[in-house]
Amino acid sequence: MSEAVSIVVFLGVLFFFLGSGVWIGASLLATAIVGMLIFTSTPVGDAMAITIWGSQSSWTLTALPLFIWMGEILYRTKLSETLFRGLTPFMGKLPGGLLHVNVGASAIFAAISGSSAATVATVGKMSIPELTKRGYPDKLIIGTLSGAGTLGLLIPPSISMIIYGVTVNESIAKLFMASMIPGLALALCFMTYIVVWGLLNKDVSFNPPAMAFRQKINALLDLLPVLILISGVIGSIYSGIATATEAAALGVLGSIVLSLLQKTLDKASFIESVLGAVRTSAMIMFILMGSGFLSLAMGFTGIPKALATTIVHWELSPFSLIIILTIFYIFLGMFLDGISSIVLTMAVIEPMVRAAGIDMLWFGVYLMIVVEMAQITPPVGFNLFVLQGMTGKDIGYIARASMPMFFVMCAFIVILFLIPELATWLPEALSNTR
Amino acid sequence: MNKLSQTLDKLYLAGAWLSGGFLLLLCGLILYSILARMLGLFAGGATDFAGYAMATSTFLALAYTFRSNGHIRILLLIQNTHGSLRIAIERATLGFMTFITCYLTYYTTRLALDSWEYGERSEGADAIFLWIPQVPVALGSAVFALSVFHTFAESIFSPEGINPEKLDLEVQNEI
Repeated sequence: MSEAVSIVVFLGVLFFFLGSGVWIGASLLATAIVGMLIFTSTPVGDAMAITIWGSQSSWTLTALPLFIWMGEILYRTKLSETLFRGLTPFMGKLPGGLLHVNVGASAIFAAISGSSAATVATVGKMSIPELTKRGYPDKLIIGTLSGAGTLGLLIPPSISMIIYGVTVNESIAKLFMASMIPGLALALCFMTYIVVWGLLNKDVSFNPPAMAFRQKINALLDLLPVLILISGVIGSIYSGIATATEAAALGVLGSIVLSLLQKTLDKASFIESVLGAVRTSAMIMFILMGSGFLSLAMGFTGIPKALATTIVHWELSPFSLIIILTIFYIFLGMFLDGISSIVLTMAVIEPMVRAAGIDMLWFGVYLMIVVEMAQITPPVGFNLFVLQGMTGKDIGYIARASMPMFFVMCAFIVILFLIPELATWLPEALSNTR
Repeated sequence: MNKLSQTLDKLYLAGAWLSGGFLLLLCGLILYSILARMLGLFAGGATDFAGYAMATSTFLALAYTFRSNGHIRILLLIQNTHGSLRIAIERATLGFMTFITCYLTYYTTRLALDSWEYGERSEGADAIFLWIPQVPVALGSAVFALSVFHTFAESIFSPEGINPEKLDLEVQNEI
């Protein structure tokens, strides 16, 4: 059967299941089953069981539940307060004032948790009421928060990045190295936006929180254990002492110790963190079961290879390819969450991108940013949902408030394209020194 | 009927607790392997065992995740339909989900049975019988299928139970 027919069959079946509200993992499994039945004579169910068993018991994936658990433990500490108090004295003086705390705290929490929604929830818990109290405009509080919260996907450790790495067989450690500088650079872009806003609205003044010098030092000292934990986890990966999984296990141990020292860990919150972690992991794993089997089925049809050849044949410049992909992912992101977008498309996109000669580490970073954009585009964007729950504003308002951040991210993709070294330099530099 | 439903929910929760136990085990295994490497102790097969612990942990939590609205799906259609049409879509998707999870259960069970019959061993340093870690995978799938069927039956016999509030997006699991 020709590739065109198989593409239509696959997409038709897939969108029918997804659109009608069948759970994403099951939609992917069902599409793969249909595809296998039509295009191959392999025993479908047995192939499915083998594929699922192979992927679900793989060593590389073990970093995933552990990083999720680490985030769950720290989410239950008084971290949001610590972050707010620790950053306020430094960022309050910049033009735009405490709005920078949204970005700074998000960047730090992103280095603890791989989840963007958890980042928004943790940072917002403290900053939304505090900033509202001081008279900052709602629109900016919400916008900067939902934008900066997406850093959770980019700054390592990132759950989505692990999934990307496992899907395209790239080293997770290297991907974590590649995404660090772009993550910080994107945070700087967000802050630049706030500075510009602050300079344009000089006449608006907010009461800065009064803090004695002694208090500032104390607030900073509170922040120290978290910063040590982060540098320990990321540093052990960067220096090659630990694999991503080992770093995750050490991170779990570290966060348990830290929350014991803070006296925020009791039996109930520990059990909650474990149940929360297995719940989130099971959700992701179910999607990964489906996508793993779908990739196998796609491989049989020859669609990915054909598409890659076509793209090469078109002789698109990498820039036009990236523009097309960006539009494609933004569109997909309006309806799908980030992880589903990644696993759903990689089987087809990976050969295409490799054929176009694009560096897979760079592409991983790029993919995280477009998927981040998906988190803040309506009608389906998880950061919007989280903020809706926290502020009670309707989703249209939150989406409009987030639009400037969306454009900042678009601009950042151009920057990343023009200066690919943002992503590729650190992995090279670190592997050369070893 | 209600009593059966409550008993089943306890079963799913028990699965989640067990799953949590395996998450602890996974973490412990990896910490042990780090320690073993530093002290030069034997830690052969630790990576394989970690994989098995993860698979077990995942599958045992599937049912609990499903019953607590943890698995994600696209709700645009369901949220924009009302009344009997909405209930019909719910039933259809749940019925289909029941089929898929039963399919999954059948073949994961067959995988474990085959491994047992042929005495397959893992390729790693541990070389344990593969059916040992594959049995919990099959069991987890079975309980998962049961939990989906459970919700499906609820949608048939007490459709008022699937109220719009329960499907609120905020309770959905996300990353």
